[in-house]
Order: sequence, then C-alpha cells, then structure tokens
Amino acid sequence: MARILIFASDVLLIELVRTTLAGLQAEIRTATSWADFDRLTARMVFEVVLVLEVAPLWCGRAFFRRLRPRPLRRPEIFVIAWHQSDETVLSLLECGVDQYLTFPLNPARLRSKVIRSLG
Amino acid sequence: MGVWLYGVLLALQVFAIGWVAVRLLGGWLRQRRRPRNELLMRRSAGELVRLILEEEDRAIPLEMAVDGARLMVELCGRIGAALYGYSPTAMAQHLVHLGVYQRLLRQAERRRGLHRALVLKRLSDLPPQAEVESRVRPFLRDSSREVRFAALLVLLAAVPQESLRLIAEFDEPLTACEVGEVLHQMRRTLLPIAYRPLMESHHQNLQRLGLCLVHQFAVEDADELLLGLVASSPDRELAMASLYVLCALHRPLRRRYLKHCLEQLSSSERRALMRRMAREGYAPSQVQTLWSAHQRARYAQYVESYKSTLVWS
Repeated sequence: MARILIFASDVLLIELVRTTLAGLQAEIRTATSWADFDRLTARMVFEVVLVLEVAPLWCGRAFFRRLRPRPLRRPEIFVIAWHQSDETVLSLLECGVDQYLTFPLNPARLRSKVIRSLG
Repeated sequence: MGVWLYGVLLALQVFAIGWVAVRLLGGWLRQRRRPRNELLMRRSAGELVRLILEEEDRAIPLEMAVDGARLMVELCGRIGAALYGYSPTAMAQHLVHLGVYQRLLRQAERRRGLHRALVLKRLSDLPPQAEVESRVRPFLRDSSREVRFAALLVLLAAVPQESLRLIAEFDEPLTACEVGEVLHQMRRTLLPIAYRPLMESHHQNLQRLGLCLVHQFAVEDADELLLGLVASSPDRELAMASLYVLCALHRPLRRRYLKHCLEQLSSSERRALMRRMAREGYAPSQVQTLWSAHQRARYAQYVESYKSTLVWS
C-alpha cells in the first residue's frame, strides 16, 4: 500500500488535509514536529510527502537530498503554504519541490493531484 | 461619619477582592479547559471537513464543550479560510442551527470600535447568510476605519456580485495588506476577476487590486497598463507601486513613461528604486537612459555590490 506523509506544526491543517485525502488507497502518516518527521522518513519509504509550511525548507537542498537521495525520484514533495511571492515559489521549485499549492486550498484539486502522483 | 466612611471602604475592598477572585477563577478554569478544547478542536476539524465535503449534517464534538458556539466560530473561520471551491450550505446550516449568526450580529451591534471590527472579521470568515447583508451594510458608514473595512469583507462574501462596486465605494485607499485580504475573500467566493478592467478603472482601490493581481500572477502582458499608471496616475504611491511591479516582472523601463515619476523622487526614494532595480537584475546599460551620469555611477556600484550573476550587455 502506498504511503503519504503530512507534515505541519498546525494540527488543524493536518486534520484538514488528512480528511481531504481520506478514502485513498494509501496509508496516511502525520508529523507535527521535526523529530517525528525525521523518525518517520528514516523508518519508512513514502510515495508522497506533503509539507504544509515553508519554514522547514529554508535550509534548501539539504532537506530534499536527505528526503530523496539521488537517483531516487520518490517521494514526490508537495508544499502547501500561504506564501505567494514568485521568489519563494521559484526557489522551492528549483530546490526540488514537485508541486507548490497555496492556501486557500481546493480539496478536489489536491485530491486529484495526489491520486495522479500515486499513479 | 467615620463609621459610615469605614463601611464604604470595607464594601469597596470586598468588591475589589471579589472581582479579582472571579477573574482569577475564570482564568484558571479557562487554562484548565484549554487542553481539552484543543483536543476537541482537533477531533472536530476532521468532522467539519467531512461535513463540508459530503454535505450532510453530522454532530461536531466541539458543540458539547463549554462555550462551544464561540469555539465553533473559531474552528469554522480557520477551516473556511483555508479552503475554497466547496458548497458552504452544510456548514452554514449547521451554524444557523447553533444560532451563531444571530449571536455575532447582536455582538456587532452592541459593541464599538475595534471590538466591533473583530466580530465582523469573524463573521466574514463564515459562510454568508441572507440576513447578514442588510444588518452589516450600515457598518460601512461607521466612524472607525477598521469597522468599515471589516464590514466590506463581510459584504464581499455575502454579495460577491457587487464586489467591485463595494470596493470602488470604499472611501479610503486600501493598504497592501488590505488588498491581500480582499483578494483572499474574492478567491473564496470563486468570482472571476480580470486584471485589465480593474487597472483601466478610475477608482484607485480597483487599480490597486488590479496591480496586486498582475504582481501575484506575474502577468507580463500588462506592462503597457503599468507604464500608463506610472506616467499618469495622480496618486504617487500607486505610481511607485506600479514601477516596483514593473521591476519585479523584469519588464523594459521606458524613459518617456517614467521620466515624470523619476523627476519627483527624493534622493532616498531614488536610492531605494536603484537598489530594487539592481536586485532584480537590470544591467546598467538597460537603465542608463533613466539616470544622470552621477546616478549611473552610483547604480553601477549597486550592481557590483550584489552577488547575483549579471549579464553586462
């Protein structure tokens, strides 16, 4: 079964995304702290990782190398945040983010994107 | 007389001690309830999203909490602000059943100033209701600017078809943050917005909205409109904002449009603009017609001080 990881410090946002993705043929795990995130990604292989804030990604490529060592193409990384400045979005895409979505979020759109990523 | 005065002082002391005790007890009870409320909020968030997506009424655990209606308003506001493209009917029906709208409208009518604005802001985060429009419309003429803006947000959600007229009629220039809030609200109502009619309008608030759209979506085709605003807008702040958006989009800066605006800049504003241009990667040769010889030398210094790779053409 495919695995999805949702990371955010705001538990309400995690519940929101988790409920939106409920019913997919995938096991959904959540992390609210950096330690949880590291522990889960070290133990399991995820198909999709959803990060609901930008702050953990300020460290740049190091985060992505650790999460997706070369030449792996999985997990696909989705970032969903309130930032809309093109500089932020472009730098994240350059670093290796596969999809960048902004809040407010359309649940149907997120669901279809995740389904497409899970193949 | 002495006994009478002593009695009054004693009564005041008792009243003060009682008041402090009640406040402390209230704070302690709130602190005690907080972990439970947070847990309930978390459980209820999932139920609320299911209610929104499946559009069928279901019990929300948070309603059972003490002060459940207030917590439900907070939860619906946070969830509602993070989602769009859903039918608000189920959530609205649930809130009507709880009497939330009546309660918030009563509070808005009873309170004044920032407290009233806060209540209206909460109302703007909730799905709109028919009676809200008529009762909130008078607040557009309130003496407090915060209240007028919060009422505008409520009406944008309640009557989205009148959005542009309401924004045009707002009597003061909107700040950048307020324009962001207006766009956020309009996005939630799924109203299609085109940047061109907004920027061609004569209302400065609509022009600001158009400018924000152009910047946010990096509309490169809008450079003629942006140059037009820089050259002819009577509002200097709007002209400067247009110039900065042009820089952000890396569009050509033509002297004949910019000349009038550049002449009015103070030295600090000119330096700020130069720094922005250097940061956005304009080579000195691209902007040499905009500046005098002395200013060109200064611009070259700014360019050299940036660590980005620039192509000198």
